[in-house]
Amino acid sequence: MSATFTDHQAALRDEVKKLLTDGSIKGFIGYARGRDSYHPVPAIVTRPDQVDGLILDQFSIFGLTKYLLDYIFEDGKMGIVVKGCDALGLGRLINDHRVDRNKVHVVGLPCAGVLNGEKVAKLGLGKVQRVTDKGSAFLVEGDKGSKELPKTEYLWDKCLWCENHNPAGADTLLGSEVENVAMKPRDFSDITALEKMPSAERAAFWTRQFSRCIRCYACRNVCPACNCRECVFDIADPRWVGNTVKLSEQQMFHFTRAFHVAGRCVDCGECERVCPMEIPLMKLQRKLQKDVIELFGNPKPFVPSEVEVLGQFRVTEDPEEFM
Amino acid sequence: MPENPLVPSVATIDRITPETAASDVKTFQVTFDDPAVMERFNYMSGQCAMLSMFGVGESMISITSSPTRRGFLEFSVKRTGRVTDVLHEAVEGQKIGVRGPYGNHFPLEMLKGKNLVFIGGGIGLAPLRSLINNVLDNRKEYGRIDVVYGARSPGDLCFKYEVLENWTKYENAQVHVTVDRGDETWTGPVGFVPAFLEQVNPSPRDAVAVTCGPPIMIKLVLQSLAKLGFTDDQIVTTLEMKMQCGVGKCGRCNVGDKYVCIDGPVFTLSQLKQLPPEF
Amino acid sequence: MLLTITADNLKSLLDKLARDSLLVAPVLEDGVTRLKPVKAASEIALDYSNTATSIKDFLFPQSEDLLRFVTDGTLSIEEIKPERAQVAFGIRPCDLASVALMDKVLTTGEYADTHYQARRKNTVLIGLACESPADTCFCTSYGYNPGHSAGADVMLYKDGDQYLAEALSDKGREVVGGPGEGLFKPADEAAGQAVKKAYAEKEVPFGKEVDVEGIDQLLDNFFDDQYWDDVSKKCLGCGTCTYVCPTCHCFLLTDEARGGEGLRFRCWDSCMFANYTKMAGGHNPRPSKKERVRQRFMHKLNYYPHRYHSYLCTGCGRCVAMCPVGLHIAGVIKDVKGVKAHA
Repeated sequence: MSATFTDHQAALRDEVKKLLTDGSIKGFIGYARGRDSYHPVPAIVTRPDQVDGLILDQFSIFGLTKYLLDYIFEDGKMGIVVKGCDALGLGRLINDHRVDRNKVHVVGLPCAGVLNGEKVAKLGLGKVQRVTDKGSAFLVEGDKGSKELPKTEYLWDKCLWCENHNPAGADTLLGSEVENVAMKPRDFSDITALEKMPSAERAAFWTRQFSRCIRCYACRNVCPACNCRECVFDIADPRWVGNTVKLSEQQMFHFTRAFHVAGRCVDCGECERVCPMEIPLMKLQRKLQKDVIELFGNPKPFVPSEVEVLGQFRVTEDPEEFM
Repeated sequence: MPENPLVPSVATIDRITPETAASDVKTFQVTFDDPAVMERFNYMSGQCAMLSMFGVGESMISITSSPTRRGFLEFSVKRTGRVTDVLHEAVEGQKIGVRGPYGNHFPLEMLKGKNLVFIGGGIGLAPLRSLINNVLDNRKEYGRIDVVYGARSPGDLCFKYEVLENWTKYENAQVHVTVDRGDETWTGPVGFVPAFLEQVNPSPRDAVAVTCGPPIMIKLVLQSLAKLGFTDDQIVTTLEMKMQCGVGKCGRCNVGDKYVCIDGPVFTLSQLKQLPPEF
Repeated sequence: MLLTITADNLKSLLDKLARDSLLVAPVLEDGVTRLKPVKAASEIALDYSNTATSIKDFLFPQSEDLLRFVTDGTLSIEEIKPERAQVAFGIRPCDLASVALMDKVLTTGEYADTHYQARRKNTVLIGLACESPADTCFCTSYGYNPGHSAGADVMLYKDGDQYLAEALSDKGREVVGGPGEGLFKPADEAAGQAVKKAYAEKEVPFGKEVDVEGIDQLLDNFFDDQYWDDVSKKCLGCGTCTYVCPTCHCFLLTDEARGGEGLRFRCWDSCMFANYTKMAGGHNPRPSKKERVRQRFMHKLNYYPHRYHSYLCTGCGRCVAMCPVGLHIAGVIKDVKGVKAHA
């Protein structure tokens, strides 16, 4: 039985209080309670009196790293809590030279998987009192009932194939590192199924998805790989994508975004998770991951590295003539 | 006349007058193609109209002509963005879209019988010009008139014929012009508008001050007027916000619970102080 | 007069409506229930607390054509008018209430939004009372309730395996007496009133948690509070809250032209977007998330009430459920009350 996130809550608060009080950070990006015990929300605190509002629990899925961009032009350090997956997002922002590692105090949270609050909320367990790690399952005890939830069914999908349980390079680690093995191999079967669909059927599938898009840009705003200084979709002149809501504009937006983060996506899945219209955006990303794996032989395209597959060009290796 | 207030009417640019040496401000004299629309376009000094450059968009521009001079509309436009860029490329005879008039207007009733101090900076003189010509066309109804006008350089002064010649010919009217930086031809005063205003030293007695210009100038002019003894009720100014609909629906031009497009752009300083400082 | 209609007859009615005009109804697709045009009653989902997007999509569409223009040497403008009649089925009480709030902005005052007016005139709203409010619903906080019918042309209340029905307007009576002829039966008045009362009194648990009373006045002197700085930090700056909100109505006008002809559209805009108030010269009166978040909530809870004497929110709970960071109006109301209580 290993520790749950909640076991680290007190230590996190102590750490943040200390860092804020001694002035090593000017603010901390963590979690607070949301509308119920299944939906913790981001919280950014700047004063020690706010720290007791910070929580950590087994539903803390939100990848917080993108908030760091709000502070890059300010003096001083920001603190942030990152899980293994979030550390990849941080790595993306650092590798893209958008965030200066020296201006971030990273509190690492080793992670054996995050419970899918959307799924667990539907079980009617009421307000969560305690979550215990039972190895292959989490025991969730609520004020209306308790249930042992098998990890393979109740964790977020990305947690199942996660190979980054321990955030690399943290300044402070909460607890000790956990065993870093994937619960199951990365699964591209849904992508293969899409690839095998007759093209008309596949087009119909994506048409249905994109026609739901309301152009809220939540996917872009949460994505650590979408870190351009000025997004092409915000530029008024020239306007690359119209404001009108129609399928062609929706597709233009999503395809452009998908290709722009191709080879740079860290597989955090946040775009899909925050989408209010539940568009399966990660299917686009995972198709591109699969291609990168197959075409470039890079087994982990989602791990930021110094040399990105699609971020380099060597003229001597280019089989095509100069255009 | 379109049924939908968001649909403009076709108008023709009859005359284009470059105002500044760099031609970054031009005055466009415009008439509606449909005489009935022209006839019904009744406006007051201080009101604005939405100009359409089709394919690019719309821009809210104050009407600089005076309603006392009927049969045409004038808009003085500084080149600052997508729509005004295209407008500046326009030639005489070209068709544009115009809808309006929008917003409130300068409080003529409040100005009647008063000594008037008009303080303008740069293109900020455009809405004041409508009011000044309006007042001058009814000269007997108002007291002493002082126009205090400044621009960055002599070449940036707008409406030169009126400012330097025409307005000074009226009885009991004085025009005081300053520039931030002079040049070899400039023999007049040099200095920023707020300090210059204090030198001109208009009396607040039975007076109303009306000011329009860049935000920083307005801010400092308000301080100077206070120093000169003007109360908040004696000061009238205008607000500028981004606008899309002009008719109080689209949301973006609000300051607190006021929409600048329909409740403004003209506010007394005491009204302005009731609003949140978000403009 | 109260009526009843069986589930089968309601299906027949909806099939007729779908055949004769444009019928908009809740449809479940890829896990999301939202309002969509349907061709037959069989496409309609009835198992939903509320649709992901609201009736706003069909009265004030996310983008609509305003005019067509030709600029080849001369200029001609052709106004485009929405003509299509539509029937919207399954509209929940909170969304019915939202229409009245939109009406105040778009149809009153010196200028009327003629597109919206035309759509309102050409739309029949068939309301459906809420059997099981979601845990994000708080309509009762604003004095509405799960049976609130104001705004509906026809209101339906599920009652066992049939529906209690009431035609509340001429448009509604035309549906009941026209395509609905022979499908409705008179209801027992006392039993019907009891059903309505049960809906009106149905418990909305989250509504009990959100006390709206006096929040407009509390906000009169709250503009400069530190709270806005604190709460806005977590805002993602996306448009989810404004786009799923049945009462947010901000829009922009935009042109698309090619080769001397084009269209001008009206599209939803969002006060959460940085460019929303940015002027041509670069000045932005609401430059950061703080000003933008404050604007949205002040508009709903203070500015709009000043102008129109009601809150610009009906407690539909969409922002509660869908804001990715939990920055929603119910939370802000609770927070402001908390801050004021401790001040």
